[in-house]
Amino acid sequence: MITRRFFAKIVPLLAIWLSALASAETTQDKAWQISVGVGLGVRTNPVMDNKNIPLVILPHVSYQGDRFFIDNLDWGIKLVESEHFQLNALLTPSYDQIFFHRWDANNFILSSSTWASFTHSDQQTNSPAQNKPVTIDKSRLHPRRMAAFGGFEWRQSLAPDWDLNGQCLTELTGYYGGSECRLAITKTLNINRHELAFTFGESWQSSSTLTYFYGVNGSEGTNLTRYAPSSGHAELMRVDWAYPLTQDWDLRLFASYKWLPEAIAQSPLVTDDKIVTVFVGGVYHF
Amino acid sequence: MTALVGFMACAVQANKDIELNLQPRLCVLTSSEAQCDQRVVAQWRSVSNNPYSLCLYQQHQSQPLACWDQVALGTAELHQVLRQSTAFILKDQQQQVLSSQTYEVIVESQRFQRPRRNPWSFY
Repeated sequence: MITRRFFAKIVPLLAIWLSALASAETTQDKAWQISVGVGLGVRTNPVMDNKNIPLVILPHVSYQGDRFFIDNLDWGIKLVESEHFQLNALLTPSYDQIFFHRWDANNFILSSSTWASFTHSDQQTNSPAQNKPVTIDKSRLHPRRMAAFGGFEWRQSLAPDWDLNGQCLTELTGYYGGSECRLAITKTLNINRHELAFTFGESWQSSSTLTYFYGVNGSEGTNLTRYAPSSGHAELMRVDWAYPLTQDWDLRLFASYKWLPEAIAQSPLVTDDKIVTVFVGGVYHF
Repeated sequence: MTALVGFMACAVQANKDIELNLQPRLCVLTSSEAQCDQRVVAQWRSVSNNPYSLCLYQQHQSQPLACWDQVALGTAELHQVLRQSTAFILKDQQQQVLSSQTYEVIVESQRFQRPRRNPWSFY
């Protein structure tokens, strides 16, 4: 509790401090960039019977200073920077909570396939009562809050147009004491005016992170649905395409496919083992 | 500062009869260099071939680097140690600016070349 209160105070203060430092830096041309993407897209939601997440308006605010940067909800301090290497201290939000914010009030009835997957999990030793639907009372689930992560980000240019990005983060808000590490390699390609980027990534989430979001504890479920996942690795594949139409407008498309780890896919709260995201639209640069 | 110097260079073309050229006009500093230590040749001439009495000054300096009396062209060889872009200015005896040229000092970028991309972000 003390830790949670401490970080609840520290994180806003850190954000204000970074903002003040950013504004105090030497003003550079194009240091601040603001854009809005308008289009049509969707992100599938693997959690229970939740609806998919529409992607229609995508605001983007970034600041690139000599020492600090803001990239939407990512805030960072450049600790070491050279032409091919960058080490940052990073403040960034958790992402998994976005799948839990569209709950309706209904109970979630585990389908036979979900139940079959769940009962194959190593953590589940009980067997369901035959001929009796197994339900999860959503009102008993604790809120899955957005947490703040802090840690280090490492960027490395491996070769022309090949970039490596690594992040090792620990949860600062004190909700669940989780940690995450992420690694991605990106190949960028410029063909005439077409800008393409292909990304392959792998992330690791600690057991406490996955338990907070995808676990079911004693107060949330019954003995049949109780679930405490181990840590897990997820893989990601992503394609970005941009095409400048005018000085202010770009066309943009991105698509990603994320393979969820078994520790998530086998949760009784989860009905899919992947997350698919697609967006196509125009981006206006202010 | 560079932008200001550039503005001055454009703004002081009061006398279009005088042309001033610097060779070289540019110095690029690498990460291991703190200053440009270079020989710079300043050449001026009167387009109409009229004689002038004038002096060459470095920006923010009151002492002239070289002076000429009633001639239509001139050359000065300068040994300059510069850390930032600097204007060289030709002035007549009434301290009126006749022409100006900027010697650019550019620090080679040591920053990560490509914009940050976080593939794990919301979108």
